[in-house]
Amino acid sequence: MNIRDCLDRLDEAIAAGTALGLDVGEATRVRDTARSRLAFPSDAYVLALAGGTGVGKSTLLNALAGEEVSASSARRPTTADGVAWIPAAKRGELSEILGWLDLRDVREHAGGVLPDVAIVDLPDVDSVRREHRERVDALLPRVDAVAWVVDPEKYKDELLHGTYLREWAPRLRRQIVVLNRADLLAPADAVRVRDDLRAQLKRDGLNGIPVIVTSARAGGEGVAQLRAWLAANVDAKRVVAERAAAATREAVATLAESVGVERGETAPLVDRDRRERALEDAGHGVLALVDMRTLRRQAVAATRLAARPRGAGPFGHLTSAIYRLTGRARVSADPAGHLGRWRLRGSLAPAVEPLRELVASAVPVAPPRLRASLAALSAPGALEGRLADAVDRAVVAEAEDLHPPTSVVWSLIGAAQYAVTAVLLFTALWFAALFVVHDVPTGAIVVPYLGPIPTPVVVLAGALLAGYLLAILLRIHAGWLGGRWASRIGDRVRAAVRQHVRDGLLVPLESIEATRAQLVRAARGIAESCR
Amino acid sequence: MGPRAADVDAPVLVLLLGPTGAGKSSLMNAIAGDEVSATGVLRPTTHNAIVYATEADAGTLRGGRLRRIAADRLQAVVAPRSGGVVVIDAPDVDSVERDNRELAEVLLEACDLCVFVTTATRYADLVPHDILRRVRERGVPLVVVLNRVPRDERDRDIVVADATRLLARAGVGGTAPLDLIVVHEGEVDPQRRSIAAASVEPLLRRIALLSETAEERRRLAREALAGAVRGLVPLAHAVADDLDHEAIDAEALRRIAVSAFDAEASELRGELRSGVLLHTEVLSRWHDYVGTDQITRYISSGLGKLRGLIATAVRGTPPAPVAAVEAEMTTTVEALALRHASEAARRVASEWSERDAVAPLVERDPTLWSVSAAFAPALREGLRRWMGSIIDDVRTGGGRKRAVAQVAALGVNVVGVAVMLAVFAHTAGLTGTEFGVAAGTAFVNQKLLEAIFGERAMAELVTRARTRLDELLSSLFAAERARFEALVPASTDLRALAADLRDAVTGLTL
Repeated sequence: MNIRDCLDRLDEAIAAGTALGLDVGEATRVRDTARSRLAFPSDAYVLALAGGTGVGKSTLLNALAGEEVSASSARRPTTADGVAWIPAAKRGELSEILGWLDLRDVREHAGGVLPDVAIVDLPDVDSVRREHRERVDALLPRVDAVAWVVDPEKYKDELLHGTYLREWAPRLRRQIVVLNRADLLAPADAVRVRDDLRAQLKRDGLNGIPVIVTSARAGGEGVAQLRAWLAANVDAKRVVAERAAAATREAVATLAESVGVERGETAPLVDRDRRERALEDAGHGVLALVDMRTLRRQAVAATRLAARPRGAGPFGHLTSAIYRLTGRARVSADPAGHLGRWRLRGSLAPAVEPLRELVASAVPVAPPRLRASLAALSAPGALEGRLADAVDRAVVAEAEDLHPPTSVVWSLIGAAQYAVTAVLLFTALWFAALFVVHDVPTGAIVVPYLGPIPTPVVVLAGALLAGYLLAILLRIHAGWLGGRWASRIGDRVRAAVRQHVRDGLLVPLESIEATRAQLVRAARGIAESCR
Repeated sequence: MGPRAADVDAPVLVLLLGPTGAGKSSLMNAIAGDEVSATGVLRPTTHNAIVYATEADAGTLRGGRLRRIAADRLQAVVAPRSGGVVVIDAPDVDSVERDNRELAEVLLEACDLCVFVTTATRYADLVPHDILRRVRERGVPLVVVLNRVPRDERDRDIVVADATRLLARAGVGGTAPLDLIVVHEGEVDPQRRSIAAASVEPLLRRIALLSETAEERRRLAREALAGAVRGLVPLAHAVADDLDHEAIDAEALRRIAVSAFDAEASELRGELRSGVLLHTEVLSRWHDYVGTDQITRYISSGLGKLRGLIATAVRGTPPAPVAAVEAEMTTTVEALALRHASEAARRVASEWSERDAVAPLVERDPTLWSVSAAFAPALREGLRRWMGSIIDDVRTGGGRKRAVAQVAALGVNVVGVAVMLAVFAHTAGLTGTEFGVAAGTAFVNQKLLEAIFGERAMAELVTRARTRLDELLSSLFAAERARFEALVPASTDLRALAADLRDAVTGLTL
């Protein structure tokens, strides 16, 4: 066993518990007490005599000492503040601990019999005086070992068993139950009472605590046995460390239990399939809001707009400039803008709903202590903000890098358009020439005919037709390219949305699971390092 | 108290009460003059109450004051002597057996004389002191037997003085001198396993006297009854005060629930009225539909109308995206309502969890953290009926003859959806380019409705639809809130009960 490791595990458990919003007060107290206790240099341990009024704690201490140490009297309750009985040789090194325990009434002994233990006579656990019980509650966490003293009258009191033994015994290591005042019983009865006491301890879930029978007042029968137990296997450092380990184990176990750790395992709060389904549904909801249909239309329009200056000849520049200047491009040919404004296209509620339902479904199966923080994850603001962030990240990254495709085909079409324009120009000049030189006396100009139609007319019609066809071709080609581009954007946006929704959305839920796992690890680690 | 008051001549009931191992059974044996109750070294010795009475008396008691106690918890020992006095040896008040304590408390309510047995080591214990406080509150005559007092004279004086002081501090005895019987250690009668009769002689004499004279019995019974009545007045007031406090707490808890659900409901209403609720993807489909020539002919006049008529003749009326819009409205309203109802439940559960009085109730029913399972189906059904009611309104043309024909021409469902849309998508307060689709759709939708119904009838139709939706959501939210309210008692009931209690004890003296 390594007590440092053990306390480190407790630190981990406290950190995890704090992150989960659990009450870590008790665990923190245990840790601080253990650290303080371990810091005191001493090779004597502190044992407390705890029990009800009149069971003979003081008498027992006097019998152990063989002299009057603690005032025992018929008046109840007797010990008010706690009396310490220590070996004189250890006075120096014990003084700090005694100060920490706030014990002022300290008696010394030569140390011959019990050289390694400081015995504290506690006030009565069942006293009518509250300050006595409070003193007991303050001292019990700080002592290293306890002798629970009972007598034939009180050995089955609920107060002792319920409030003290069942609560404290698991947090202690070195402890014993002393059935005192056995002189009130016939010897055979004493055995029966002892067995009944053992049976009750077993029912309390406290196996393995030794029980001895004493009569401190009448002759000190059994006292030698108690003295032997006190002196046996005394390695004070180990007693102190083991006590700290027991308290630590119990504190971590309590924390682990409150988050639903059973036998070192936790059931996941959310079923895996269900979670996948919810994420998928949320993704669909978001994509409906992003509006992929319009995105496609805008992407195609943007590609056509980009194609126009290069592929539409000299007039293309003009029309695209008009298109831009009137603002129509911004409205209907701006896929990046369309993506960026996704948030304004309706309510996010339907997209968030599957996630809310997922989290809400985890609440009833979660351990009660986790429910509040778990349910808080389903608060609409939290979930919606998170979803919006996730989609923003996905969409903004996509929108930043959105350049319409381009193609040499457009330049070829553009060149052809220029050629067509040149032909048109030439035809225009031809007509103008014919018009201008019509009445010139130098003789008639022969207008060539192509079949029955004059050639300029044929050329004009052909050039117009070619221009129209080229424009159609450009439109089809840009549309086709734009469509492919739109599909690519669509796929990327879909993937990015899914990815970010998956990564970002259930982070708090996952962190709860992870923190629980951390607590489980601490509890397992405790089982190994605190044995 | 009722049965006792009804029959002052019923046998008097002497109860032996005390902590485990104090010697109640030994005292019982002393009273009976025989071993009737098992004494022993194992604690607790007495599991059931031992009833020492003549058969007739035992019968009377069982039918009367002790009828609330399970028959197998009462162990009868037949007393040979004449009746009139029943002695009951109660189980321990502070042992690990919880039902023992409960049984002892029930017996305490029924008895006429309480004999509290404690010991020199026990008298400062906490639990018995709490019981003694109950004895005092109950106002029953009390005798204290202090058992196993050390024989040493000095020790004895210390113990007796200290015990008397502590008992007096617990309020036992009150102004009357404490009826204390001291039994020394070792004063036992081994043959009968009892306390030596001589040591408890005053008590035995008193019981004998009770047994012999009916007048004495009546006097004691009256004294016990008077004590009970005296104890009852402050008790009733204390209970009434508790009820009042509980009423205040219940009100506070209800207020939490009411304010959370109200806040969420009003937020929901606000969102439903914001005008930018439905997905523009769906809205634009409706916009496209309403924008076709075939539909705009209803709205426009002159050339547009002619164009629409021709288009209708040539191409017929295009299909309306009725199902898509309906589905969109249902999903959105459902998601929003679920979200807000769930959030309200979460807020209440969260706040209630911090309060000790109701935290266990919330812990026991974890479904309280979210909306109930019945909410979503009820909402869906409600929305279905809401849509049905709008269709019915539209079918009658909003009270306009001319409208009926137009509605029939367009299709009842189409016009119905237009009305529903008008509830959610409207132009009020919409600005900025991005609201273009929503606002544009709302605008043409509104124009269409106006053309069919006229401005006033349309406004009425829409308002009525909106009111019905509000009512539906309010009733669903109220049902959700009722889950919480069912957990706390109605404060008016508590207050009435407190007032009744106070009235009942006013002027009550014997």
